Amino acid sequence: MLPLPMADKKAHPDQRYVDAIRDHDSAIIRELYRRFSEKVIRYVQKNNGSDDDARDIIQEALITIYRQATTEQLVLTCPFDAYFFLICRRKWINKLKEKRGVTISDDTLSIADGSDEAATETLLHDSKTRLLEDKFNELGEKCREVLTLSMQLQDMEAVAKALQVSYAYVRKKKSLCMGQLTSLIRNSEEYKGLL
Amino acid sequence: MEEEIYERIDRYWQNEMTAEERAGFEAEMQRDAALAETVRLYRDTQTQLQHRIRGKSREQDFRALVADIIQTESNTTARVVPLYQRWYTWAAAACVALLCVALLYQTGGHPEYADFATPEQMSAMQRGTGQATWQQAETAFNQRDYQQASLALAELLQQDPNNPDLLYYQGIALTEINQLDEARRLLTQLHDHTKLYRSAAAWRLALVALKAKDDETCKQWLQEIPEGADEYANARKLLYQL
Repeated sequence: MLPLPMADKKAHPDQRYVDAIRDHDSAIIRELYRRFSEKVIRYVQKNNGSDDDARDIIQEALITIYRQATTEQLVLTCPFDAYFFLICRRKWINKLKEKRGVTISDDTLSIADGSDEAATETLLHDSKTRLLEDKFNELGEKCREVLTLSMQLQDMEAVAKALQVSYAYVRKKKSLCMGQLTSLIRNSEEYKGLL
Repeated sequence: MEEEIYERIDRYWQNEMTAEERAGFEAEMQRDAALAETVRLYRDTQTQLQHRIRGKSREQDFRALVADIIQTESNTTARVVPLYQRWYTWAAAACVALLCVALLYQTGGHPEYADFATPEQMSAMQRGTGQATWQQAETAFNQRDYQQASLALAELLQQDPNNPDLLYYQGIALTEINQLDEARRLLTQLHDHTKLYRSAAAWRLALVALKAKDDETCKQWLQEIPEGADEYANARKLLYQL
């Protein structure tokens, strides 16, 4: 499900913002907020939202970028400004659709700087993460426990010991729970939409 | 059998197949595109899940950091609380509301075993060796023929006396047919020796006590069920009613 890494691309100087997000660099994240949040706030205000709504969207957008930056190599080849604004704008459009069935047109002129593709890719990654979380939470308590420990510990002997079951039992259970998770994802409407 | 496929897929990715078995499995994937897709998705899901679970606490730190920056930068006392916290508060309020509604509509009588013993389905996902007897137990159990189910389960338990799934389902079957002492013994064994089943067994032990009209023991078991357990909401509801 993971998209191909963009390792062969040349990074834009604004890559430093992505790196700061990945590395929890609070000074640069603060700088980023000062430089780029106003545009988002104005956009949300103009489109039926409040300041608080805008800040929620900014927070969500930063977490979305964080998720991609920490799971795969995220190389930014466009200005951060455009990329970040597009992510926020699409998140706000989706929120409006969910909340009140309000549809606003996505009519901002797109600039051929690659920001559109980059934002799409980041949002796709986010949708996959959400799908995984939703389906994981649909599993029974025992499956969640077996899988959580299996992912944390790797060594299945240690997992068996922690759960006080036999090695054979936990191996079988882990593969069945992973199988159940895989098929929940595969049979979901959202998965079909992500292909 | 679907469950066998997942066991094979897991062994494939763990590099536990012999060279011959591996070649056979790969040839099968070449012939069967759906299998190949399942094998790939299994691995990708596992990789993603590993990232999520291992990175969870760091992501929470990041959330807190961002919330803090936004709050101080926006120069206001506006409610910039991490979203998950808000969601939680909301969910807690909804639970309280549901409990109130449940309480309001209670007729005031003593809670009964049958009101809380929601029928469980024994699942093929848990099947082990001795397939035919497993199948018998499963069919009988799912048709709520607990007498037959407990005979088959007893046979399986003789071969595999510590299998947690068997102990659990036999505990339920015996409760249903009123062999409460034996049910209590098996579920206590499960509770004491298998952490994975601790809260599930506690819930079933509470139901055994409820059926035996031993409210005090029932309450004690209910109090042991932690938040986040599958049966937590039911446990709280029963506790209120007692």
